[in-house]
Amino acid sequence: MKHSPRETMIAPQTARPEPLLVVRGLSVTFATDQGPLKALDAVDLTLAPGETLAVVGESGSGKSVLSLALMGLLPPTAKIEADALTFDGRDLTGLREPDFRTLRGTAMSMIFQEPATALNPVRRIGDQIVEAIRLHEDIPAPKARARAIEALAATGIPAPAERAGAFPHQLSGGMRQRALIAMALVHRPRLLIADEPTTALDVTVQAQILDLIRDLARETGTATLFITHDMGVVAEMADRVSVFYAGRLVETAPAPALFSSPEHPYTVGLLGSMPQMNARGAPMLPIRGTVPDPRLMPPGCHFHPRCPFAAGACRTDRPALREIRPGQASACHLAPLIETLEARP
Amino acid sequence: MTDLPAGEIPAGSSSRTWRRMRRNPAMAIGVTVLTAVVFFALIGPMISPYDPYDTALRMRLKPPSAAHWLGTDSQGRDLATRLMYGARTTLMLGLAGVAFAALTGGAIGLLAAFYKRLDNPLMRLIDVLLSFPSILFGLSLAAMMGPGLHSLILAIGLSIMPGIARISRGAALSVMAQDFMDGGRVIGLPDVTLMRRYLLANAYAPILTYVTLAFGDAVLLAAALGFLGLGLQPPTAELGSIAAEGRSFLFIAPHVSFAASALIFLIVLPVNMLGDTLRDAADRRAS
Amino acid sequence: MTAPLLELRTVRKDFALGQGLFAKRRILTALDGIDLSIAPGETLALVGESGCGKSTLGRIVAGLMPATAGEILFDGHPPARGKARARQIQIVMQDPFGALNPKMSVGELIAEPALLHGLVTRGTTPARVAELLSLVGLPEGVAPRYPHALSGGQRQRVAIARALATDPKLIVADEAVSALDVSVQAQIANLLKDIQARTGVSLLFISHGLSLVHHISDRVAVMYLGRIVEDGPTADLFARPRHPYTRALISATPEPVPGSSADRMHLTGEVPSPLALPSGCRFRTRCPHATDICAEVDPPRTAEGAAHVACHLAHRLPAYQSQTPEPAPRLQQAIALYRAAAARLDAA
Repeated sequence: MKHSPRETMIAPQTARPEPLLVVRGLSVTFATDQGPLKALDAVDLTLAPGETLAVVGESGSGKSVLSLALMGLLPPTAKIEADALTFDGRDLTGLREPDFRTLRGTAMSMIFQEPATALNPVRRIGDQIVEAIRLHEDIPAPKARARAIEALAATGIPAPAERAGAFPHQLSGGMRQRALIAMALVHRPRLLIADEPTTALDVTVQAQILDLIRDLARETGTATLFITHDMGVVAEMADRVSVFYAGRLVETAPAPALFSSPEHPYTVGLLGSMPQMNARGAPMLPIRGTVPDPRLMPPGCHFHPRCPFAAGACRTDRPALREIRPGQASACHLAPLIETLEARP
Repeated sequence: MTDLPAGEIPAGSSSRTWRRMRRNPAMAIGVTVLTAVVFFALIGPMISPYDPYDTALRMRLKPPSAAHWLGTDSQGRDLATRLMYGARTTLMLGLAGVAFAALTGGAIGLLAAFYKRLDNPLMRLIDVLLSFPSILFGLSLAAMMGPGLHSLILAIGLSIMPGIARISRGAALSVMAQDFMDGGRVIGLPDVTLMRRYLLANAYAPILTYVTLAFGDAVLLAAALGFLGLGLQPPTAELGSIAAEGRSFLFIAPHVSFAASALIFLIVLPVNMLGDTLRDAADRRAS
Repeated sequence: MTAPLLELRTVRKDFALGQGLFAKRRILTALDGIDLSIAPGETLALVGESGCGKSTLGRIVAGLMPATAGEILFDGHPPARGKARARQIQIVMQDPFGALNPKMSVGELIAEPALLHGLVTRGTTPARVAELLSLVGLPEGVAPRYPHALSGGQRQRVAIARALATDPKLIVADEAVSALDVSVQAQIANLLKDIQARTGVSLLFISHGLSLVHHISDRVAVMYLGRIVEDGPTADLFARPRHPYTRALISATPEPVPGSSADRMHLTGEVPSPLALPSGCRFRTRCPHATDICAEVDPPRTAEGAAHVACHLAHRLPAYQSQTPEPAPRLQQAIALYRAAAARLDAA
């Protein structure tokens, strides 16, 4: 590769506290029967304490691989390379599994799309939370039980003492997600990774869970890495947004900037394909084509085969992530988009 | 318009399974041994200079020699030749039994999964069949119908059929849960086509794997019935009955029973290895 | 008004639960008193959250299960039984990965219904397959491929082509785009509208969310716990939602504009079990406006112009204010540029 993918570092915003999570040049490659598959390709990420960063992408963007990499949950067949991967000042790259496990239980935690699969189906909810507490804290069982019920109550589960005795299948999807959130936050983690936590829920329940995650994170000062494909959810939750496409970070910006002036064509396409952005009755604006096969990524910009603006350099050179305005960076040769495009003949 | 992903998804899944199997040495050994035994059973009788029924009382219970590679049995018959015919009979019994079981068990399993109404009655019938120990079942059937080729095949088949029926029903139920079954129904396909083109086509792989394993059971059962004297009647050569005949002379001529037992072992072991490999390969593909 | 293509009158569906040896038999009423009609060439969206019965209704319409009670009329007559039904109504299902028989090639999948119904001969099959493929925007080259080699969006296109192969008058799209990526959803939504414009097929578009519905449907019916609580012309329903549940659904849909969620209407709690329905109005346990009468009397479905609503308080609710915010000007400009460039490429 001729160009370093990161010629310019994104200038830290003024008065931002020391970042909690720093990811630089993270690549993840899986060995498959059909050859290596690069799921993440030199991505960067920073997250300040208490901040909510939304990671947006469609299938194949690598957003879920990112969360697993951060949690140390990738299978051993995955090859992880990074220039920097630090959490709370600790280097995660060389971390051994027992240490990672402690970190995962206490300082980092995760909630998933399908809470049913993240909970043990044959154990009562309360017992699972008590176990999670006592795994990392040496406190007597009755005390842990009280804490567990408190945690359930904090998530707005009605009759928490009763629900603690329920098995996961006896709860609705929304209640299960609440229980999972209670378990995830029981050690007051510094980082919560939420991987599509509301995708499987109904809209009215989704609204409740989004509020809950936001309120609890604010209360406990937890930073949230919110992984989603839904730009509506992003608008609701995020302080900052990182947009992923085909394993690469294509744009990162404070949420207001991203929604008022997106600087990557893929971001524009994602927003443009939302029904809300299309006049009623007019044809919708889809992104043309499909996500490329991860084993046969196009050269240059990964998005160029689908990009309506693609020109010369897009097909040959990987665009570097460039700062367009303070805090907003785009990996597009054409950014700033509107200025470049209007200057075109 | 839609671009197709440039990458052709490589190779059909069946050829991938085959490649995995080839990489597995246990599989290679299994196939080799089984081929040798089948060769022995099918070609042997054509080239052997001896008749399996020609008794020669002067030649009784002779140890292996240049003329009789595996010696002779209590009637002075060439043991190697007896074993060739015996292996052929046992393999055929196993094959016929397992074929009967696969056809009936497979049909019962698919029907039970396809028609909810039939599920309960059919599966209760299978439960009843399953609650008989196989040997006992074979014994009573042979006793009831009298010994003979048909009752023997029926006994073997009915003994292993319940397992196949259950596996088939399980495999078919998981296919029934898929949307494409409704997709076939909604275009108006008749049940027969749905069952063949949609249900069976997607459910046969685990059934076939199980049937392979069941073939090993069928051979063992055939031999066991023969050993107990419930198989084909003497002088018909059959591995179980040869082993049983040799039992009376175990101390003076152990080679008779030993050779027959070893041959059973050489049939069943590679069949089971083959079945296990198939199952592992299918499991890995599913995961 | 033209005669409806499909008409449902007080359709009811019960499921018997607990058919085990020792379990007590219980009856779950999934649909209760459903009245519905679809005009030729019309798109009716059926919206509701999980468990409201919308998919059951779709399956009944498609003939995949019988209704327990009520009347279904297709073109004024009961729908055909058996094979002939497939010529009238087809269904496209949600999961693009499970809806196609993996052992059949795309060509076989699309040819199968046409051959079955004698609409093609062996000789004319390839031409018909090519025609259907081009109708759904797939290149002819996919015909020999198998579903596993296609992306989700492509499979959904194959499913649509297969549904079109019998020339049905009505297609039930049961969450047909829900499992797809957002950008691909837009492709499939465009495709459905495009096909409708060309063939005049009616659509029953079943969805759990409102956003696409607003865009592609002519009329909307909102379901809650086995009942239709409100239905009406799309523009009217979104501008003046009369039922508190419709308002809550609209309000809970996240808008892609930061800060727009501040004053949305919140529903507390979750949908009650259909085995323990609340007395009176089914929505009252979550309704912020519920009063005494709601617990006592099941609200009847009353006509409000072209719309219907089943709520005691429909006339007493505070005036509805749409909170859909405008996207930022620079974003609109970027999208306009994107649309223009995409159109130029599609034309080329």
